[in-house]
Amino acid sequence: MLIERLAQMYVHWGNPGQTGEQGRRKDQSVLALHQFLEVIEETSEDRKALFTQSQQSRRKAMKLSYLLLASETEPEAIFDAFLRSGLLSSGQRSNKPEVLLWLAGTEAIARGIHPYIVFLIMSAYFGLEIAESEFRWLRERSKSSNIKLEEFIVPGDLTDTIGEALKEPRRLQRTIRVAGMPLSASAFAGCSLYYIEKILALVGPIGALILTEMIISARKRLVSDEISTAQQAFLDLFTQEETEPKMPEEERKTGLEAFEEQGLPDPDLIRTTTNIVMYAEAKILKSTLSSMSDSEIASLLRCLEAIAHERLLNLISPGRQKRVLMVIQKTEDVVHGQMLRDAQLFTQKLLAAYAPKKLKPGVTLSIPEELRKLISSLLSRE
Amino acid sequence: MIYWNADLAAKISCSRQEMETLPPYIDHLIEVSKAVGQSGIQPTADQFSSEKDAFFRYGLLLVSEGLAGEILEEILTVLLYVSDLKGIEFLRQCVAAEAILSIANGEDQDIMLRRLLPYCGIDKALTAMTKRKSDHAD
Repeated sequence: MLIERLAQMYVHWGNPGQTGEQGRRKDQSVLALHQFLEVIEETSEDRKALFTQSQQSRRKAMKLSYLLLASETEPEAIFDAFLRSGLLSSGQRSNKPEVLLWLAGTEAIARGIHPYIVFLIMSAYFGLEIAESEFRWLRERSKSSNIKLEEFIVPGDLTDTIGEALKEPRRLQRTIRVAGMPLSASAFAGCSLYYIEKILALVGPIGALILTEMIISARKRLVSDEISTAQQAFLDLFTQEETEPKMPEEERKTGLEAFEEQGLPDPDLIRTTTNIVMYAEAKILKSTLSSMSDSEIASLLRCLEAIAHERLLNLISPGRQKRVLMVIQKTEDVVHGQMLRDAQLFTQKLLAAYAPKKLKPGVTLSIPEELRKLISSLLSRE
Repeated sequence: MIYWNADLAAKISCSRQEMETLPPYIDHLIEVSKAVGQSGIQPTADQFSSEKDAFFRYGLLLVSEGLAGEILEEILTVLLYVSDLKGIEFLRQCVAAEAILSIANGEDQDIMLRRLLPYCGIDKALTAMTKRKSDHAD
Protein backbone atom coordinates (compact mmCIF):
# COMPACT_ATOMS: atom_id res chain seq x y z
CA MET A 1 0.00 0.00 0.00
CA LEU A 2 1.47 3.27 -1.16
CA ILE A 3 0.57 5.49 1.79
CA GLU A 4 1.93 2.88 4.19
CA ARG A 5 5.19 2.75 2.28
CA LEU A 6 5.40 6.53 2.37
CA ALA A 7 4.72 6.57 6.10
CA GLN A 8 7.47 3.99 6.59
CA MET A 9 9.91 6.23 4.75
CA TYR A 10 9.03 9.09 7.07
CA VAL A 11 9.35 6.87 10.13
CA HIS A 12 12.74 5.53 8.96
CA TRP A 13 14.28 8.69 7.57
CA GLY A 14 12.27 11.54 9.00
CA ASN A 15 11.51 14.67 7.05
CA PRO A 16 13.51 14.74 3.79
CA GLY A 17 14.19 18.43 4.33
CA GLN A 18 15.06 20.35 1.24
CA THR A 19 16.09 18.32 -1.74
CA GLY A 20 19.24 20.12 -0.85
CA GLU A 21 21.34 21.03 -3.76
CA GLN A 22 20.58 23.81 -6.13
CA GLY A 23 21.87 24.89 -9.50
CA ARG A 24 25.33 23.73 -10.44
CA ARG A 25 25.67 21.23 -7.61
CA LYS A 26 22.38 19.63 -8.57
CA ASP A 27 23.52 19.40 -12.18
CA GLN A 28 26.63 17.62 -10.95
CA SER A 29 24.52 15.17 -8.99
CA VAL A 30 22.45 14.40 -12.07
CA LEU A 31 25.66 13.94 -14.09
CA ALA A 32 26.93 11.57 -11.40
CA LEU A 33 23.76 9.56 -11.90
CA HIS A 34 24.33 9.41 -15.67
CA GLN A 35 27.86 8.28 -15.01
CA PHE A 36 26.60 5.58 -12.62
CA LEU A 37 24.28 4.24 -15.32
CA GLU A 38 27.12 4.12 -17.84
CA VAL A 39 29.54 2.47 -15.41
CA ILE A 40 27.02 -0.20 -14.41
CA GLU A 41 26.23 -0.90 -18.07
CA GLU A 42 29.87 -1.05 -19.12
CA THR A 43 31.42 -2.85 -16.18
CA SER A 44 28.58 -5.28 -15.55
CA GLU A 45 30.29 -7.80 -13.27
CA ASP A 46 33.82 -6.44 -13.66
CA ARG A 47 34.68 -5.94 -9.98
CA LYS A 48 38.05 -4.38 -10.65
CA ALA A 49 36.51 -1.63 -12.77
CA LEU A 50 34.00 -0.92 -10.00
CA PHE A 51 36.82 -0.64 -7.45
CA THR A 52 38.55 1.84 -9.74
CA GLN A 53 35.35 3.85 -9.98
CA SER A 54 35.08 3.82 -6.21
CA GLN A 55 38.58 5.24 -5.85
CA GLN A 56 37.92 7.94 -8.42
CA SER A 57 34.60 9.07 -6.96
CA ARG A 58 34.60 12.24 -4.89
CA ARG A 59 31.17 11.97 -3.34
CA LYS A 60 31.16 9.76 -0.27
CA ALA A 61 27.82 8.10 -0.96
CA MET A 62 28.78 7.35 -4.56
CA LYS A 63 32.14 6.00 -3.46
CA LEU A 64 30.47 3.69 -0.96
CA SER A 65 27.95 2.59 -3.55
CA TYR A 66 30.64 1.48 -6.05
CA LEU A 67 32.63 -0.15 -3.27
CA LEU A 68 29.66 -2.21 -2.07
CA LEU A 69 28.83 -3.31 -5.60
CA ALA A 70 32.47 -4.16 -6.30
CA SER A 71 32.58 -6.34 -3.22
CA GLU A 72 29.33 -8.05 -4.25
CA THR A 73 27.63 -7.15 -0.98
CA GLU A 74 24.31 -8.85 -0.32
CA PRO A 75 21.32 -6.50 -0.83
CA GLU A 76 20.26 -6.90 2.81
CA ALA A 77 23.72 -5.83 4.04
CA ILE A 78 23.80 -2.66 1.92
CA PHE A 79 21.27 -0.90 4.14
CA ASP A 80 23.42 -1.64 7.22
CA ALA A 81 26.57 -0.51 5.43
CA PHE A 82 25.01 2.87 4.63
CA LEU A 83 23.75 3.21 8.20
CA ARG A 84 27.15 2.38 9.65
CA SER A 85 28.89 4.75 7.27
CA GLY A 86 27.42 7.68 9.22
CA LEU A 87 26.24 9.34 6.01
CA LEU A 88 22.67 9.15 7.26
CA SER A 89 23.40 10.24 10.80
CA SER A 90 21.75 13.41 12.04
CA GLY A 91 24.89 15.50 11.74
CA GLN A 92 25.16 14.88 8.02
CA ARG A 93 21.55 14.93 6.96
CA SER A 94 21.70 18.06 4.83
CA ASN A 95 21.92 15.89 1.73
CA LYS A 96 19.64 13.14 2.94
CA PRO A 97 17.77 12.60 -0.34
CA GLU A 98 21.09 12.31 -2.16
CA VAL A 99 22.40 9.67 0.24
CA LEU A 100 19.07 7.81 0.08
CA LEU A 101 19.32 7.98 -3.71
CA TRP A 102 22.61 6.09 -3.65
CA LEU A 103 21.36 3.65 -1.05
CA ALA A 104 18.26 2.88 -3.13
CA GLY A 105 20.29 2.58 -6.34
CA THR A 106 22.91 0.29 -4.81
CA GLU A 107 20.29 -1.96 -3.25
CA ALA A 108 18.34 -2.16 -6.49
CA ILE A 109 21.42 -3.05 -8.57
CA ALA A 110 22.40 -5.68 -6.00
CA ARG A 111 18.88 -7.13 -6.26
CA GLY A 112 19.44 -7.54 -9.99
CA ILE A 113 17.02 -4.86 -11.13
CA HIS A 114 17.68 -3.54 -14.63
CA PRO A 115 19.94 -0.44 -14.61
CA TYR A 116 17.36 1.65 -16.50
CA ILE A 117 14.73 0.96 -13.85
CA VAL A 118 17.30 1.70 -11.15
CA PHE A 119 18.01 4.99 -12.91
CA LEU A 120 14.30 5.86 -12.78
CA ILE A 121 14.14 5.04 -9.07
CA MET A 122 17.24 7.11 -8.33
CA SER A 123 16.18 10.10 -10.40
CA ALA A 124 12.91 10.24 -8.46
CA TYR A 125 14.92 11.46 -5.45
CA PHE A 126 15.61 14.71 -7.32
CA GLY A 127 11.90 15.51 -7.37
CA LEU A 128 9.22 15.44 -10.04
CA GLU A 129 10.62 18.01 -12.45
CA ILE A 130 14.07 16.46 -12.76
CA ALA A 131 12.63 12.93 -12.69
CA GLU A 132 10.52 13.71 -15.76
CA SER A 133 13.35 15.41 -17.64
CA GLU A 134 15.63 12.44 -16.85
CA PHE A 135 12.91 10.08 -18.00
CA ARG A 136 12.83 11.88 -21.36
CA TRP A 137 16.62 11.75 -21.55
CA LEU A 138 16.53 8.01 -20.92
CA ARG A 139 13.81 7.60 -23.51
CA GLU A 140 15.97 9.25 -26.19
CA ARG A 141 18.95 7.16 -25.09
CA SER A 142 16.86 4.01 -25.42
CA LYS A 143 15.72 4.97 -28.91
CA SER A 144 19.31 5.27 -30.08
CA SER A 145 20.32 1.85 -28.75
CA ASN A 146 21.76 -0.59 -31.28
CA ILE A 147 20.87 -3.77 -29.44
CA LYS A 148 19.35 -6.26 -31.86
CA LEU A 149 17.66 -9.59 -31.30
CA GLU A 150 18.26 -12.65 -33.39
CA GLU A 151 15.82 -15.33 -34.46
CA PHE A 152 15.33 -17.99 -31.78
CA ILE A 153 12.14 -20.01 -31.64
CA VAL A 154 11.16 -22.45 -28.94
CA PRO A 155 8.03 -24.50 -29.65
CA GLY A 156 5.38 -23.68 -27.11
CA ASP A 157 1.82 -22.51 -26.64
CA LEU A 158 2.73 -18.83 -26.56
CA THR A 159 4.44 -19.00 -29.94
CA ASP A 160 1.26 -20.49 -31.37
CA THR A 161 -1.17 -18.10 -29.71
CA ILE A 162 0.72 -14.80 -29.66
CA GLY A 163 -0.74 -13.85 -33.04
CA GLU A 164 -4.23 -14.10 -31.56
CA ALA A 165 -3.16 -12.28 -28.38
CA LEU A 166 -1.81 -9.39 -30.42
CA LYS A 167 -5.33 -8.74 -31.67
CA GLU A 168 -6.05 -7.53 -28.13
CA PRO A 169 -3.17 -5.14 -27.50
CA ARG A 170 -4.72 -3.53 -24.41
CA ARG A 171 -5.02 -6.91 -22.69
CA LEU A 172 -1.52 -7.89 -23.74
CA GLN A 173 -0.16 -4.57 -22.43
CA ARG A 174 -1.81 -5.20 -19.09
CA THR A 175 -0.56 -8.77 -18.91
CA ILE A 176 3.01 -7.57 -19.53
CA ARG A 177 2.68 -5.07 -16.67
CA VAL A 178 1.06 -7.54 -14.29
CA ALA A 179 3.50 -10.35 -15.14
CA GLY A 180 6.45 -8.01 -14.78
CA MET A 181 9.35 -7.57 -17.19
CA PRO A 182 11.44 -10.62 -16.11
CA LEU A 183 8.63 -13.14 -16.60
CA SER A 184 7.39 -11.47 -19.77
CA ALA A 185 10.90 -11.44 -21.24
CA SER A 186 11.46 -15.12 -20.36
CA ALA A 187 8.18 -15.97 -22.06
CA PHE A 188 8.90 -13.88 -25.17
CA ALA A 189 12.43 -15.33 -25.41
CA GLY A 190 11.01 -18.27 -27.35
CA CYS A 191 8.92 -16.21 -29.79
CA SER A 192 9.81 -15.39 -33.37
CA LEU A 193 11.43 -12.04 -34.10
CA TYR A 194 8.35 -11.01 -36.07
CA TYR A 195 6.12 -11.30 -33.03
CA ILE A 196 8.66 -9.90 -30.58
CA GLU A 197 8.86 -6.71 -32.62
CA LYS A 198 5.09 -6.37 -32.44
CA ILE A 199 5.13 -7.00 -28.68
CA LEU A 200 7.89 -4.44 -28.11
CA ALA A 201 5.79 -1.83 -29.89
CA LEU A 202 3.23 -2.15 -27.09
CA VAL A 203 5.53 -0.45 -24.57
CA GLY A 204 7.57 2.74 -24.79
CA PRO A 205 11.23 2.85 -25.86
CA ILE A 206 12.59 2.38 -22.33
CA GLY A 207 10.37 -0.62 -21.66
CA ALA A 208 11.18 -2.05 -25.10
CA LEU A 209 14.92 -1.81 -24.52
CA ILE A 210 14.65 -3.38 -21.06
CA LEU A 211 12.56 -6.23 -22.49
CA THR A 212 15.02 -6.71 -25.36
CA GLU A 213 17.99 -6.97 -23.02
CA MET A 214 16.09 -9.29 -20.71
CA ILE A 215 15.09 -11.49 -23.66
CA ILE A 216 18.76 -11.73 -24.71
CA SER A 217 19.72 -12.59 -21.15
CA ALA A 218 16.91 -15.17 -20.82
CA ARG A 219 18.05 -16.88 -24.01
CA LYS A 220 21.53 -17.26 -22.52
CA ARG A 221 20.40 -18.43 -19.08
CA LEU A 222 17.31 -20.54 -19.69
CA VAL A 223 16.87 -23.91 -21.35
CA SER A 224 13.90 -24.46 -23.62
CA ASP A 225 11.87 -26.19 -20.88
CA GLU A 226 12.25 -23.16 -18.63
CA ILE A 227 11.19 -20.85 -21.44
CA SER A 228 8.16 -23.06 -22.05
CA THR A 229 7.27 -22.87 -18.35
CA ALA A 230 7.54 -19.07 -18.46
CA GLN A 231 5.36 -19.05 -21.57
CA GLN A 232 2.73 -21.14 -19.82
CA ALA A 233 2.76 -18.83 -16.79
CA PHE A 234 2.39 -15.78 -19.04
CA LEU A 235 -0.44 -17.42 -20.97
CA ASP A 236 -2.18 -18.33 -17.72
CA LEU A 237 -2.09 -14.68 -16.71
CA PHE A 238 -3.34 -13.61 -20.12
CA THR A 239 -6.25 -16.06 -20.16
CA GLN A 240 -7.00 -15.52 -16.47
CA GLU A 241 -7.74 -11.94 -17.27
CA GLU A 242 -10.13 -13.01 -20.00
CA THR A 243 -12.02 -15.42 -17.76
CA GLU A 244 -12.05 -13.25 -14.62
CA PRO A 245 -15.69 -13.27 -13.57
CA LYS A 246 -17.33 -9.89 -13.68
CA MET A 247 -19.76 -9.46 -10.83
CA PRO A 248 -23.25 -8.53 -11.90
CA GLU A 249 -24.11 -4.99 -10.89
CA GLU A 250 -26.74 -6.07 -8.37
CA GLU A 251 -24.22 -8.28 -6.58
CA ARG A 252 -21.66 -5.57 -6.13
CA LYS A 253 -21.46 -4.53 -2.54
CA THR A 254 -20.83 -0.95 -1.74
CA GLY A 255 -20.92 1.33 1.27
CA LEU A 256 -20.89 -0.15 4.75
CA GLU A 257 -21.71 -3.63 3.42
CA ALA A 258 -18.45 -3.72 1.51
CA PHE A 259 -16.42 -2.93 4.62
CA GLU A 260 -18.27 -5.55 6.67
CA GLU A 261 -18.06 -8.20 3.96
CA GLN A 262 -14.27 -8.11 3.86
CA GLY A 263 -13.82 -7.84 7.63
CA LEU A 264 -12.46 -4.37 6.96
CA PRO A 265 -12.33 -1.85 9.79
CA ASP A 266 -15.71 -0.38 10.58
CA PRO A 267 -15.31 3.40 10.09
CA ASP A 268 -17.95 4.13 12.71
CA LEU A 269 -16.07 2.09 15.29
CA ILE A 270 -12.86 3.92 14.46
CA ARG A 271 -14.57 7.30 14.67
CA THR A 272 -16.19 6.50 18.04
CA THR A 273 -12.97 5.14 19.58
CA THR A 274 -11.04 8.13 18.25
CA ASN A 275 -13.54 10.53 19.81
CA ILE A 276 -13.28 8.74 23.15
CA VAL A 277 -9.49 9.18 23.12
CA MET A 278 -9.83 12.82 22.12
CA TYR A 279 -12.47 13.67 24.75
CA ALA A 280 -10.92 11.78 27.67
CA GLU A 281 -8.86 13.76 30.18
CA ALA A 282 -5.13 13.44 29.69
CA LYS A 283 -4.54 12.39 33.29
CA ILE A 284 -7.16 9.62 33.10
CA LEU A 285 -5.93 8.50 29.70
CA LYS A 286 -2.37 8.30 31.00
CA SER A 287 -3.51 6.22 33.93
CA THR A 288 -5.46 3.93 31.58
CA LEU A 289 -2.45 3.43 29.34
CA SER A 290 -0.27 2.56 32.30
CA SER A 291 -2.67 -0.30 33.06
CA MET A 292 -2.40 -1.66 29.51
CA SER A 293 0.29 -3.89 28.03
CA ASP A 294 2.30 -2.87 24.96
CA SER A 295 0.32 -5.25 22.78
CA GLU A 296 -2.98 -3.89 24.09
CA ILE A 297 -1.88 -0.35 23.21
CA ALA A 298 -0.75 -1.57 19.79
CA SER A 299 -4.18 -3.15 19.26
CA LEU A 300 -5.88 0.05 20.38
CA LEU A 301 -3.88 2.11 17.87
CA ARG A 302 -5.40 0.01 15.11
CA CYS A 303 -8.83 1.24 16.14
CA LEU A 304 -7.91 4.92 15.94
CA GLU A 305 -7.54 7.66 13.38
CA ALA A 306 -4.11 9.26 13.07
CA ILE A 307 -5.09 12.31 15.13
CA ALA A 308 -5.72 10.10 18.16
CA HIS A 309 -2.42 8.24 17.61
CA GLU A 310 -0.61 11.48 18.27
CA ARG A 311 -2.45 12.13 21.53
CA LEU A 312 -2.03 8.61 22.73
CA LEU A 313 1.65 8.25 21.87
CA ASN A 314 2.43 11.58 23.49
CA LEU A 315 1.22 10.16 26.79
CA ILE A 316 3.71 7.29 26.88
CA SER A 317 7.48 7.35 27.15
CA PRO A 318 9.66 7.26 23.99
CA GLY A 319 10.95 3.83 24.99
CA ARG A 320 7.43 2.48 25.25
CA GLN A 321 6.50 4.14 21.96
CA LYS A 322 9.26 2.13 20.27
CA ARG A 323 8.12 -1.11 21.88
CA VAL A 324 4.53 -0.49 20.81
CA LEU A 325 5.60 0.25 17.24
CA MET A 326 7.63 -2.96 17.21
CA VAL A 327 4.55 -4.92 18.31
CA ILE A 328 2.57 -3.29 15.51
CA GLN A 329 5.19 -4.28 12.96
CA LYS A 330 5.06 -7.90 14.06
CA THR A 331 1.29 -8.30 14.16
CA GLU A 332 -0.89 -9.09 11.20
CA ASP A 333 -3.99 -7.23 10.11
CA VAL A 334 -6.98 -7.74 12.36
CA VAL A 335 -10.59 -8.12 11.38
CA HIS A 336 -13.53 -6.05 12.51
CA GLY A 337 -14.59 -8.36 15.38
CA GLN A 338 -11.16 -8.27 16.99
CA MET A 339 -10.98 -4.49 16.67
CA LEU A 340 -14.30 -4.14 18.44
CA ARG A 341 -13.07 -6.31 21.30
CA ASP A 342 -9.83 -4.30 21.57
CA ALA A 343 -11.73 -1.00 21.60
CA GLN A 344 -14.16 -2.28 24.24
CA LEU A 345 -11.33 -3.55 26.46
CA PHE A 346 -9.73 -0.11 26.33
CA THR A 347 -13.05 1.57 27.15
CA GLN A 348 -13.55 -0.67 30.16
CA LYS A 349 -10.09 0.21 31.43
CA LEU A 350 -10.81 3.88 30.83
CA LEU A 351 -13.99 3.60 32.89
CA ALA A 352 -12.02 1.90 35.65
CA ALA A 353 -9.56 4.78 35.61
CA TYR A 354 -12.42 7.28 36.01
CA ALA A 355 -13.71 5.39 39.01
CA PRO A 356 -12.27 6.47 42.36
CA LYS A 357 -10.58 3.71 44.34
CA LYS A 358 -13.41 3.66 46.86
CA LEU A 359 -16.55 4.26 44.86
CA LYS A 360 -19.52 4.70 47.14
CA PRO A 361 -22.80 3.09 46.11
CA GLY A 362 -25.14 5.44 44.30
CA VAL A 363 -22.38 7.89 43.31
CA THR A 364 -22.02 8.41 39.57
CA LEU A 365 -18.66 8.69 37.87
CA SER A 366 -17.60 12.20 36.93
CA ILE A 367 -17.43 11.59 33.21
CA PRO A 368 -18.35 14.40 30.77
CA GLU A 369 -21.73 13.81 29.13
CA GLU A 370 -20.40 13.59 25.58
CA LEU A 371 -17.79 11.04 26.59
CA ARG A 372 -20.34 9.05 28.56
CA LYS A 373 -22.54 8.72 25.45
CA LEU A 374 -19.61 7.57 23.33
CA ILE A 375 -18.55 4.98 25.90
CA SER A 376 -22.12 3.65 26.17
CA SER A 377 -22.40 3.48 22.42
CA LEU A 378 -19.13 1.54 22.10
CA LEU A 379 -19.79 -0.88 24.93
CA SER A 380 -23.28 -1.69 23.65
CA ARG A 381 -21.94 -2.73 20.24
CA GLU A 382 -21.96 -6.38 19.27
CA MET B 1 -1.59 -0.63 10.08
CA ILE B 2 -0.28 2.67 8.77
CA TYR B 3 2.69 4.15 10.58
CA TRP B 4 2.07 7.56 12.00
CA ASN B 5 4.56 10.36 11.61
CA ALA B 6 4.16 13.97 12.66
CA ASP B 7 6.00 15.37 9.60
CA LEU B 8 3.88 13.40 7.18
CA ALA B 9 0.69 14.25 9.06
CA ALA B 10 1.59 17.95 8.93
CA LYS B 11 2.42 17.74 5.24
CA ILE B 12 -0.83 16.01 4.32
CA SER B 13 -3.23 17.95 6.54
CA CYS B 14 -5.68 20.34 4.92
CA SER B 15 -8.90 22.11 5.70
CA ARG B 16 -12.41 20.79 5.13
CA GLN B 17 -12.92 23.36 2.38
CA GLU B 18 -9.81 22.17 0.61
CA MET B 19 -10.95 18.57 0.94
CA GLU B 20 -14.11 19.53 -0.95
CA THR B 21 -12.01 19.90 -4.09
CA LEU B 22 -10.91 16.27 -3.94
CA PRO B 23 -14.04 14.49 -5.29
CA PRO B 24 -14.01 16.43 -8.62
CA TYR B 25 -10.30 15.63 -8.93
CA ILE B 26 -11.05 11.94 -8.37
CA ASP B 27 -13.71 12.18 -11.09
CA HIS B 28 -11.04 13.46 -13.46
CA LEU B 29 -8.70 10.58 -12.58
CA ILE B 30 -11.49 8.08 -13.16
CA GLU B 31 -12.26 9.67 -16.54
CA VAL B 32 -8.63 9.35 -17.63
CA SER B 33 -8.58 5.77 -16.40
CA LYS B 34 -11.71 5.02 -18.44
CA ALA B 35 -10.16 6.57 -21.54
CA VAL B 36 -6.97 4.54 -21.09
CA GLY B 37 -9.08 1.41 -20.53
CA GLN B 38 -10.96 2.00 -23.77
CA SER B 39 -8.21 3.14 -26.10
CA GLY B 40 -5.17 1.52 -24.45
CA ILE B 41 -1.80 3.19 -24.09
CA GLN B 42 -0.11 4.32 -27.28
CA PRO B 43 3.52 4.41 -26.19
CA THR B 44 4.82 6.13 -29.30
CA ALA B 45 2.32 8.97 -29.32
CA ASP B 46 2.45 11.78 -26.79
CA GLN B 47 -0.89 10.56 -25.51
CA PHE B 48 -0.73 12.28 -22.15
CA SER B 49 0.75 15.63 -23.18
CA SER B 50 -2.59 17.36 -22.61
CA GLU B 51 -2.70 16.17 -18.98
CA LYS B 52 -2.08 19.28 -16.90
CA ASP B 53 -1.35 17.49 -13.65
CA ALA B 54 2.42 16.96 -13.83
CA PHE B 55 2.53 14.18 -11.23
CA PHE B 56 -0.26 12.19 -12.86
CA ARG B 57 1.25 12.74 -16.31
CA TYR B 58 4.64 11.44 -15.24
CA GLY B 59 3.04 8.40 -13.62
CA LEU B 60 1.18 7.61 -16.82
CA LEU B 61 4.44 7.89 -18.77
CA LEU B 62 5.97 5.29 -16.45
CA VAL B 63 2.97 3.01 -17.00
CA SER B 64 3.34 3.42 -20.75
CA GLU B 65 6.85 1.95 -20.43
CA GLY B 66 5.38 -1.20 -18.90
CA LEU B 67 6.05 -0.39 -15.25
CA ALA B 68 3.64 -1.56 -12.55
CA GLY B 69 3.59 -3.19 -9.12
CA GLU B 70 6.41 -2.84 -6.62
CA ILE B 71 8.79 -0.87 -8.83
CA LEU B 72 6.19 1.68 -9.86
CA GLU B 73 5.08 2.00 -6.24
CA GLU B 74 8.66 2.59 -5.15
CA ILE B 75 9.18 5.38 -7.69
CA LEU B 76 5.89 7.08 -6.82
CA THR B 77 6.60 6.82 -3.10
CA VAL B 78 10.00 8.45 -3.52
CA LEU B 79 8.44 11.26 -5.55
CA LEU B 80 5.92 11.84 -2.77
CA TYR B 81 8.62 11.67 -0.11
CA VAL B 82 10.71 14.42 -1.71
CA SER B 83 7.71 16.45 -2.87
CA ASP B 84 7.90 20.10 -1.81
CA LEU B 85 4.12 20.47 -1.88
CA LYS B 86 1.98 20.57 1.24
CA GLY B 87 -1.68 20.37 2.20
CA ILE B 88 -4.27 19.74 -0.48
CA GLU B 89 -1.70 19.88 -3.31
CA PHE B 90 0.26 17.08 -1.67
CA LEU B 91 -2.89 15.12 -0.90
CA ARG B 92 -3.80 15.33 -4.58
CA GLN B 93 -0.41 13.89 -5.46
CA CYS B 94 -1.08 10.98 -3.10
CA VAL B 95 -4.45 10.36 -4.75
CA ALA B 96 -2.89 10.60 -8.21
CA ALA B 97 -0.23 8.06 -7.20
CA GLU B 98 -2.93 5.59 -6.13
CA ALA B 99 -4.76 6.18 -9.42
CA ILE B 100 -1.58 5.52 -11.40
CA LEU B 101 -1.03 2.21 -9.61
CA SER B 102 -4.64 1.30 -10.22
CA ILE B 103 -4.38 2.08 -13.95
CA ALA B 104 -1.12 0.10 -14.20
CA ASN B 105 -2.82 -2.92 -12.67
CA GLY B 106 -5.81 -2.53 -14.98
CA GLU B 107 -8.21 -2.32 -12.05
CA ASP B 108 -11.85 -1.61 -12.73
CA GLN B 109 -13.60 1.59 -11.73
CA ASP B 110 -15.06 0.23 -8.49
CA ILE B 111 -11.72 -0.97 -7.15
CA MET B 112 -10.09 2.29 -8.17
CA LEU B 113 -12.77 4.23 -6.30
CA ARG B 114 -12.18 2.16 -3.19
CA ARG B 115 -8.53 3.09 -3.37
CA LEU B 116 -9.14 6.80 -3.90
CA LEU B 117 -12.24 7.71 -1.92
CA PRO B 118 -10.76 7.09 1.56
CA TYR B 119 -8.48 10.08 0.89
CA CYS B 120 -11.62 12.25 1.06
CA GLY B 121 -12.22 11.11 4.66
CA ILE B 122 -14.26 8.16 5.80
CA ASP B 123 -17.59 10.05 5.81
CA LYS B 124 -17.26 11.22 2.24
CA ALA B 125 -16.08 7.78 1.14
CA LEU B 126 -19.09 6.06 2.66
CA THR B 127 -21.52 8.63 1.30
CA ALA B 128 -20.06 8.33 -2.18
CA MET B 129 -20.12 4.55 -2.10
CA THR B 130 -23.65 4.42 -0.75
CA LYS B 131 -24.72 6.87 -3.46
CA ARG B 132 -23.13 4.65 -6.09
CA LYS B 133 -25.03 1.70 -4.65
CA SER B 134 -28.34 3.51 -4.93
CA ASP B 135 -27.41 4.64 -8.46
CA HIS B 136 -26.80 0.99 -9.38
CA ALA B 137 -30.15 0.05 -7.87
CA ASP B 138 -31.89 2.70 -9.96
